[in-house]
Amino acid sequence: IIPEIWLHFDVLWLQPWYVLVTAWDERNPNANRLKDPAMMNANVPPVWDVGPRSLFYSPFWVVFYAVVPPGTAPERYRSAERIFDDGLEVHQGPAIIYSVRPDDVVFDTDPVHPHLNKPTSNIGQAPASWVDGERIAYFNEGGNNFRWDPIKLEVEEVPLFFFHRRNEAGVLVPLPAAPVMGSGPLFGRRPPDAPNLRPRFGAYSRFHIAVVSPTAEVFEPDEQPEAVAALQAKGIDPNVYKGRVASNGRKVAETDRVCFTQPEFPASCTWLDSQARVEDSVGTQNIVRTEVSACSPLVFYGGKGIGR
Amino acid sequence: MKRRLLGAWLAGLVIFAVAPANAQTPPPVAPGPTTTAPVSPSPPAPEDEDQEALGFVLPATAEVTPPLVLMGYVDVGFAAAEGDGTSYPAGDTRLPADYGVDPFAPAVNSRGDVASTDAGNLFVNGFLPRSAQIGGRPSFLLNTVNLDARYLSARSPVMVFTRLQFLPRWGGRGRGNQTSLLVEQAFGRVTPITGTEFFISAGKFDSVFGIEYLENQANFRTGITPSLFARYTTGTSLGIKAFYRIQVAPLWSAFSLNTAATNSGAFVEALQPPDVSLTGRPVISARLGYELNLRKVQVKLGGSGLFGPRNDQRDPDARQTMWGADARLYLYGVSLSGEWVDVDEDLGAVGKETGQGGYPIASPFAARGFWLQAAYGWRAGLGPLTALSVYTRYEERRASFEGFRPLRVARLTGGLRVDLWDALILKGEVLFNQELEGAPNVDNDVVTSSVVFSW
Repeated sequence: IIPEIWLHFDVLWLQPWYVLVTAWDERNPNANRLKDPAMMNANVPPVWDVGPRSLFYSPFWVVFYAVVPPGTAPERYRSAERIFDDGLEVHQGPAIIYSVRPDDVVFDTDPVHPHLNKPTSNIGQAPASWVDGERIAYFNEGGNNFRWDPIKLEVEEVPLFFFHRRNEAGVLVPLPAAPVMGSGPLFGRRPPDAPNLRPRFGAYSRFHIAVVSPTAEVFEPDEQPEAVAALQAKGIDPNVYKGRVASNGRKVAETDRVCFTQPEFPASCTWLDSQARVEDSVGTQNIVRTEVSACSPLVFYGGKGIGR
Repeated sequence: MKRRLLGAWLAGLVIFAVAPANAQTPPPVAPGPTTTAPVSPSPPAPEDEDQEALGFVLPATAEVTPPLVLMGYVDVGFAAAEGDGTSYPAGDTRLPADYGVDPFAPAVNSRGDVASTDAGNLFVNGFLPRSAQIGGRPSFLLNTVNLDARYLSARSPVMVFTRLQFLPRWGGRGRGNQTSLLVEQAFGRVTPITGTEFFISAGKFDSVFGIEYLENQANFRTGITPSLFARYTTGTSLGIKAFYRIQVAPLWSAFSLNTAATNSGAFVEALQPPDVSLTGRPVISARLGYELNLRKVQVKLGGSGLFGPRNDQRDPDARQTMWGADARLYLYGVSLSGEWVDVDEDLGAVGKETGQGGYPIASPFAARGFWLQAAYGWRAGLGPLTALSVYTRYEERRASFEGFRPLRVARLTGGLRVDLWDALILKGEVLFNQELEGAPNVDNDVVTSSVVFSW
């Protein structure tokens, strides 16, 4: 999912997000959340300061737990200024993604994979947080899904490749293909870091155009009945490959063999479905950095939805 | 060391008499080519026919100001700031770090340099003053070595003025010593109509906005540090300027108009570079002034405006707008002065450029507020003790970057000035900075002093 997009931003920073607790428990920081008796003992909303009207607003947060006396009035802390002025004890927590939203922007149902029709991650939808005294709702896209510099508080970006091909006039034309998320800095050769199928990458990506060769083609099941049959014979859902780009999926020269029609399919195809394969196939001169970046946390990985 | 504002106000407000002359002085240039010896148009004696073509004869004892005059001053200071010398609260990781506080608050000298702007590794976006890099450590400072040169032509209504300033500084951790040579001013001025106060200048010169620019230099400033609004109103810039003043004798009054078209307007160079226009369009500024000059009472009122592209980015349609009103009252020796300023800046194009470097975003910004100063100076005439002055200033500034919590800060300043002979000024000053709203309270008060040797 992509809740935020930036244009002409070279760097994105983490901002502080304050959670009020009545006692600090290092092993379970959320165990002692300050409650609001008037709201059926719901957790008092968290507090942050850099609002969405600022160009420095970021959905990437470092959580800080501010220890308040038990029985503190729920309305006392609605800005970071008061937390500092009261000299509260503060402990740093994890980094997490929260995207602000209008009250009427919600998920009625959990999103599903558009091709596989499987449930993806369930996105948390919290009704309230306090920003400079103003209440605002937010989505919770989870934590531990991006890397960041703990000194400079900069979020690490990874490339998100959008495939294009040059037409006969030499103009770049986008392919109707699924983009490919990188797992590390461009040409950094970092293997995917995904313990227990929870990727620690992808939440902040920069759009890159990958210009593929004339022999590259998108696998569209409706156009490749033989390939679909081959997959089904192997017990593979053809939609798993829907939208993927094969660098040898199109015949240009007489000696070219379209991989979709080969008996070894899908092994006959050189799939451009990872950062390393894209970089190796198209090369540096055919990868174009754009000025567009996005908050793009992955919600489906390794064949299943990612739990928050 | 933190003081409550009210208690400090009552303890620090000591009103005596007489205004310091500096607040009244015009810009530090001669008013025209009339400061040479007076003309004596008596008919020439036969033996003086050789001089007849000159049109006048100087009395034998007349003192003639040389066309080229060199002036200057050295400002040496000692300053101590609370905390780490910045306005950043410990543990605050909101970014940019300079957006949630007033980095200009802990000023230590007449240039407005602060004790420190070091935010550690936190990102800042260029809303920063120049820094003396002393942090929270008391230190001697060589604030300014100022050299002025003024050339006043005897044969034409032209004056040329230059002001060069050497600024020895410590560059900060790992950066070593750094001494800057600043061309603070360099301009030529023409008086097209002899006998009038109508001047046209071209070059780099003082701001025309408000009145605080009149005290930019340490030897002219009543106290030591500038106000919280000086960053917007006292910057020098490069362009053309026209000044006209007319006396209305029956009303004991005068009206003046000072107007300029410059690269950057009135912001200080740390915020907007003055030496080039980044947008290709000038910034227009002007002040309309009125003076009532009675024998023992003087009233000076003014209104200022500024409009044009913000010169810290490249979009000519991204505006900066300022309005201001100023007043000065000299009443039986008491000097009261003040200014109200309103600043607005549009969102700028990608890439912000200041006098200190490049930054990513030129955010929309707004500020407004005022400063009020009361001063009393006693002309002692006791040997080397020429004058003794006490002063106090109170100011409030409300400001916000778009999307950031608005800040309201205040400052109470008080100090003492001792004038010895005509070439030595001693000053001591205390700054009580207060975060009223929007910014966490921090220890950023300052005690500073200045010794100004001038020639």
